[in-house]
Amino acid sequence: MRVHPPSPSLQRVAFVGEPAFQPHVPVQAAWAEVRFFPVTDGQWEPALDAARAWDANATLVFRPQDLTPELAARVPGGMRIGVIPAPLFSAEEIERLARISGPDAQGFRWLTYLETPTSPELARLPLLQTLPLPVDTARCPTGPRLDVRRMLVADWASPSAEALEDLRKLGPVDVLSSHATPEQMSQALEKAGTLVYASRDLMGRFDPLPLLAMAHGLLVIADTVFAGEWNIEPEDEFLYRPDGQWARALDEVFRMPVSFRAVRIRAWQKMREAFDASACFQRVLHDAHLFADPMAHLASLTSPRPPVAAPAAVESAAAPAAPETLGAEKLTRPSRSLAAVPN
Amino acid sequence: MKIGFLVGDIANISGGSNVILEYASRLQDLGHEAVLITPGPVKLTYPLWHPRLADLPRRSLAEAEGESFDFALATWWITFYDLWRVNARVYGYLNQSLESRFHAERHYKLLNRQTYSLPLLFVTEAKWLVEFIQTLQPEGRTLYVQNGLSRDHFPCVQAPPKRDGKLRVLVEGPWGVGFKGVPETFEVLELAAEQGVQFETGWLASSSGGQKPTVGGQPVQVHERIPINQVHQVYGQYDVLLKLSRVEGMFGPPLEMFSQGGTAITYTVTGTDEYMVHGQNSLMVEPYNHRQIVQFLRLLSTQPAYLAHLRTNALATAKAFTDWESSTRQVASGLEALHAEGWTNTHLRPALAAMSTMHGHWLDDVWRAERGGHSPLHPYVGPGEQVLLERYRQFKKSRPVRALQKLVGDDLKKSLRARLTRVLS
Repeated sequence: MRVHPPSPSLQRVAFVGEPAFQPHVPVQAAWAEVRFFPVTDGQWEPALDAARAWDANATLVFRPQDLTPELAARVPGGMRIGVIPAPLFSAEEIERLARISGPDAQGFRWLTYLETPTSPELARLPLLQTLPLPVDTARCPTGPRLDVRRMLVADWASPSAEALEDLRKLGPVDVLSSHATPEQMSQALEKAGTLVYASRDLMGRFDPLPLLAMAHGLLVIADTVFAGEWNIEPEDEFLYRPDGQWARALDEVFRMPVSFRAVRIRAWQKMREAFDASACFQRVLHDAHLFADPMAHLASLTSPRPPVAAPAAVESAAAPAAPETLGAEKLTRPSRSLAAVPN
Repeated sequence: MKIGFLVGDIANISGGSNVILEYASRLQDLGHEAVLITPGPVKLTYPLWHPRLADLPRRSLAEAEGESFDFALATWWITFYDLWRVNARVYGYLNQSLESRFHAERHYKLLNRQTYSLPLLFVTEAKWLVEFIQTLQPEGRTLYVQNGLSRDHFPCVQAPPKRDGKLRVLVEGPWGVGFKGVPETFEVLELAAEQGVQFETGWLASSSGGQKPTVGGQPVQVHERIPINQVHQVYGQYDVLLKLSRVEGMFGPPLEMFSQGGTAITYTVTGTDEYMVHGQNSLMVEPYNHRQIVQFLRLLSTQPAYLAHLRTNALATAKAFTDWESSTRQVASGLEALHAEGWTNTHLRPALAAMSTMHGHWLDDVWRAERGGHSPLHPYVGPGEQVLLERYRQFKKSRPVRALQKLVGDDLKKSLRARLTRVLS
């Protein structure tokens, strides 16, 4: 998604939260300078102070329900937004959020919630929009490595021992520990071709691993689906298979790879189309300003040129002997070499 | 150059067919021989939905088998499986979407993906498709040309029409095609009306499917089966297009709306990144964020200055956008360069024929399995047994047997069935 460039006054955007949220924060953005301030051992003050010292114009805080009113008042910037990335059940936390958010509160102007709020108490919060935890796709490989057969399971979302044994007969299986750091998780995802995932809940709701896997170009095979409103398309972007059919599904994937490479590519594309952290947070900030004061927002905008490229035909061929171009510049993708597998 | 377009249903209005007709007719204007190759004879319905349809030479596949083409281009994915029937120097695919996403049935999805398994010449209109094709089929050749905006059918207005009164919202798309999201769009509008947003609604559809939707208790004005050269007049009556389709190629309708000085609210669907910018010329939401559409409608209905900002930039986008003449010249120069280079992939014809054969057999098997209801044919059922089973099914469906079945009570039927099973097993 392309978003109108922000007002020139929005130069530095801070993200504050536990280190586990780092893969969900843009490592860089074309629309502002961005920086992540990790909260370690539950100590919010140093992170908030560092963001303030950095002179953030806007701040997004993950799990704002963890902040006391005093801490919320210390969040820096002219626009402060709390990101609630997992379902909220505690009445006490909802009550705290009600006190520290809203147009007149000393804290957050807006909140985002990962799904449509299910209770009237949640719905009464100043929710700007629905926002599942996005993924910083810039940290992911530039294309699916379609020749990788290694399978990955997470120990917290693992198939039954019997199903796992069947998978091991088909190829190497790595087991991701629930104690893995974000770096270790990223390394495991980079080595794997398929994530096999078991869950009793809708995918992605409590656990970002399936989305991270798709952003890394893995084929996700799961015994559950994503929420329908996420529009992650079964069979086209992931495979929904009961536990007992996993080995058979993987066997199909290995024997008939052409049929399933498309699924991995589409999953990888979908993450950038609708779940990319840079685009998602840019639109959150855009809409936060727009809805807070439409006229002030309008006055702050610079006039952009029409978002239309000069017309040009672009031809590309992988064959080494192919001519350089037919019409204009050659379209190049850094992922070509990774994706180049014989059909 | 002689260029054959293998088409599906060309007689009826659709965005995909419009693209084919624009290219074919304008390649003809440039002096090339463009031919529409249809599965069978086509009966045109007058008035024609596209004014150039009657001008273009049409051949059935059977007729085209005796001819030679410089380029044979599949269009709708099913036509890929007929490419082999045509003799061509270059086999290609004018690919407008990943049409696997159009289907719910797994066997169609799997068959669709096979259409990317050979290194054809892919001509496509959207960057996401270029990326998809090149990653999936790096040995193919890909020509990316944006669709043009027809200045004949969608002449840009000078300035966004000035209007007083309520916000005017236009819905576009057929009712019965799930991924077009039309019923869902009306649900969102109903929600907005319930929440007090003030607006009026129209619906532009190739087919309304007999639906007569209402929003906030008011009937929706339906514009159905409008010839393409009159569609701009409908767009011009509205401020904003609300289109919640979940699959698009290059996504033409918002651009057409822009040309008439309207803006659009859409999902962040594939194709939007060709020309749409959130907050500049349009508003977009991720599908999971659809509740925000109501807030956007409220904003546009109460903030005329912001609506004017979007409409002005939308029109500027349409004015700056390429037209069909430019797009066709780009396609023509791309094909001419390949032709001059002597590039051919005619050696793929046997592979195309083999894939078509497998496709046919597989679909036949799926068809037979589906006809078998919940007990698909077992692999050990040979051809002889299949013939017998088919005869037996036809016998059961015959009129006298069905009449007899009606006369016999359920209890007696059960008892006879049980006895027969015991005897035969």
